[in-house]
Amino acid sequence: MRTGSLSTKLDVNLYETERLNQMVRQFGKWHQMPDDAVFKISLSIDELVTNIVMHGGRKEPRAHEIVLRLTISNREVHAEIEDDGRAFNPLDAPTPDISASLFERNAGGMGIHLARTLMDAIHYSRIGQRNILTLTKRVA
Amino acid sequence: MQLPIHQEGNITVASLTGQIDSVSAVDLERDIMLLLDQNTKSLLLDCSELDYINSAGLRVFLLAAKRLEQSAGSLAFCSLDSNVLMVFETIGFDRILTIYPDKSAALAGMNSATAKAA
Repeated sequence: MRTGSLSTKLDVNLYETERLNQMVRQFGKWHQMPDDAVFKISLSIDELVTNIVMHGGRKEPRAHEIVLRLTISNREVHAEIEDDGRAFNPLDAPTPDISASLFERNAGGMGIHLARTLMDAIHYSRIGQRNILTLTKRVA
Repeated sequence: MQLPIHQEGNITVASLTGQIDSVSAVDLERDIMLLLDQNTKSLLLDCSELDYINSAGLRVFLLAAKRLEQSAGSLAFCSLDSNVLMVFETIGFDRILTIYPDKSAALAGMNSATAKAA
């Protein structure tokens, strides 16, 4: 894979997540990342950024900006998602019971579950007035 | 209605295309719920042209599946690409939803299920 990095600021709305998805996929392809890895990384970033828009953008103090930093080097992809909203750790969300029947299933927590399962590691930290999520994925 | 649909006997086939994300899932939910409001009982979602889905789209599928289960209807999916299938498996949807490899298998399977129920 080609080494490289990307850093960008987003407004806090869902249309931005749509544009971000396209950019992450193009970035992955340009850096010769395998298709399945591009899919998993763009989906995980999408889920976490969407979560910030839906939760961090609704309650005071609201998030006003989201910063994404994405780095590809030595067969490892590293993403950092930072926002300036109230303290919010998406990893605290309860894990959906994926063995439940259709009748018992609800839609909560699916996005976080996908990101957690598809990435090798996700960490949350609160630094000053900012939430920071770091994602790592080894790419074979 | 933005969702392309056509009838195959008693089965309504809707074709999903491109990417279903947090924005497009809103339209998808409106279109699918409209079909169910119009009393669609057998719905096949053809995913042959679908190359991306996130949890907002999965939520719509779950709502539709629950609603059709309650009304004794049926919902099935066919022709999932490997990434979309991987998402279904990761979230456990392959166990609670009906997935067929292709459209002809789906139509045959849905028709025989309807015949058994009758």
